[in-house]
Amino acid sequence: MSGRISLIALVTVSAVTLAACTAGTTDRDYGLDSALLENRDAGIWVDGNGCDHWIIDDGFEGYMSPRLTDEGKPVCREGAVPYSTIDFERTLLGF
Amino acid sequence: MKSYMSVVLVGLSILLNPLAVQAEITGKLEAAIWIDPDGCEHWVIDLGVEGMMSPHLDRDGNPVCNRNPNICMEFPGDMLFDVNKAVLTLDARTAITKYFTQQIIDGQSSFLVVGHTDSDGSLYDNFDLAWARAQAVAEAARQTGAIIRTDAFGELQPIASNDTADGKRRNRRVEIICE
Repeated sequence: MSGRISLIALVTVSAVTLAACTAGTTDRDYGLDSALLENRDAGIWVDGNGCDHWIIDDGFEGYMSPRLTDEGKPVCREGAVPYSTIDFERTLLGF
Repeated sequence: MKSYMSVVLVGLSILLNPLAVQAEITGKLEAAIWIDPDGCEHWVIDLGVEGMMSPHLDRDGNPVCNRNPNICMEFPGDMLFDVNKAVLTLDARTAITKYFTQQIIDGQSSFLVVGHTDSDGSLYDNFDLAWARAQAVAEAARQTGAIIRTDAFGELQPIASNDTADGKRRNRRVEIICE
């Protein structure tokens, strides 16, 4: 029974996650939905042009990659502040 | 009353334009620019133990290239200095020291440090500012044991249009050329 419940939970979580991914790649809303990032390691770093990059820091290694639309264009949110970060906290090793 | 109105206006503009929805800013990270052997720019963030890199794309998604691949690193002027100043900020001094220390460990010890400005202000003032900024970077770099020559072009070697704020920002820079 609990196995069935966790399976249902898994399917539900997957569906929600998929929905979140789909929502994240539409070209309508690039305002960040913070709930979208809540359970992930990735934050956002805004470059000098005001365009987003995904930024991940697990404490030992760091990764960064441009945030792109379906068409391969950079995601540059209106009013984005260059060199700002969103949901990216430096770990103990950084300073 | 005026400020109240502007708050309402800002609120309205956010409501009317989904692209203007502002996620909450939680931090600030300056980036230097690394130029790859093809002459294309990459944003570089140094977090101490680790570094991160991501290609510099323009808003249309094209890589920003056509740079001199002999440039090892480029520090945006805004990252190192306050407006019209040639004194390194504390964070900038830390970044410069770390960069040159690592370069020496990697076997690179001779550099040419070149100062550039945007086109605001007079030709002569811009040359003086670029020169003073190159000296400030050189002074910090030499403390790591690096061998440094300096040069300055002021506004005479732009890499972007001085007609836009973004272009001007890119033109304010200190290039580190490996020798």
